[in-house]
Amino acid sequence: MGDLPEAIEKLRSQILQDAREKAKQIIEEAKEEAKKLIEQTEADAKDEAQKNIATAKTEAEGTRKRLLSNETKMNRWRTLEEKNRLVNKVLEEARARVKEITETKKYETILEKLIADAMKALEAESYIVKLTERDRKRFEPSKLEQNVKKLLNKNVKLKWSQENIEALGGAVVGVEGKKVWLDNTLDTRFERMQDKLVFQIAKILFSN
Amino acid sequence: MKRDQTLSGVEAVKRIVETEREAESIIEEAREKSREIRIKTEKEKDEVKKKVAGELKRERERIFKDVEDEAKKECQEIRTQTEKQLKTFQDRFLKNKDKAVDAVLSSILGESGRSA
Repeated sequence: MGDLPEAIEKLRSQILQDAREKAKQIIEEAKEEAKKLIEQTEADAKDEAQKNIATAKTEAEGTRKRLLSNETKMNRWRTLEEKNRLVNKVLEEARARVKEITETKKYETILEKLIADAMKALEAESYIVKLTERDRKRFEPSKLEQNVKKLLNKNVKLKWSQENIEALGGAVVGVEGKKVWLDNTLDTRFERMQDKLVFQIAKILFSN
Repeated sequence: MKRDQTLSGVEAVKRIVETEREAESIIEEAREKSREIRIKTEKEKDEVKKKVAGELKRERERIFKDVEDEAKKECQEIRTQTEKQLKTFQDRFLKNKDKAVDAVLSSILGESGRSA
């Protein structure tokens, strides 16, 4: 019997030791699990963050491209607008010069050529010519006719219409008896040649 | 002697039962601590997520700011180039305007109109 308390004490110690070990194991497992969970959470969050950053970089790059594209378009537009403005200034000045020229003596020769050119284009034998009121009053019809025929190097019939045209200068020429008219006024020539003139002016102004 | 042994046996069982209760208590205490660890872990997980989210927010802001600054610089460069080009146009206009007007006169009036 003297051994019984000792045996009990041993058993008791063993039970408590086992319990402590189990308790230690429970806590260690919990700590280990916690550590893994934290690590996993951090890894997942960082992984998600990386994806988010990649998306952000793509978005930011898109924004940059859009900003640059808008700026480029806006500046291209400014450049074109300025080119247009300068080309139009030349056209305005040219119109003013043309108006001045119609006041000079030299204009008579120009008018004769404009009439002759229209006639050549129409290729007929009899023509009717309409002028501005001012030109009809300024120039002697017989002299004009004579010079036009010289330019054509051809004897054609020419009638001067009593109808006035509204223009800076030039003439509207028709084939007698037919409803065919060729407008060779200076104003119409400006309109007709607009595209060509713009191209020509731009080339002279802006090419190196 | 036999009676003493019987009593000791009861006492022994009692002590064993007490010990097992004590052991159970140790384990229960560990389980409680383990629960606390889990609760604490959940909080730490939230903190980790918040920390990463905060870093992510700052990083996103930095990326957008860097790109915006870069784009502003590039836009400024485009504007500077445009200004230079506009200045060149103006210079060329002043230099070539008369030639261009002459060309228009030549087209509208024919060669004779050019030097008028």
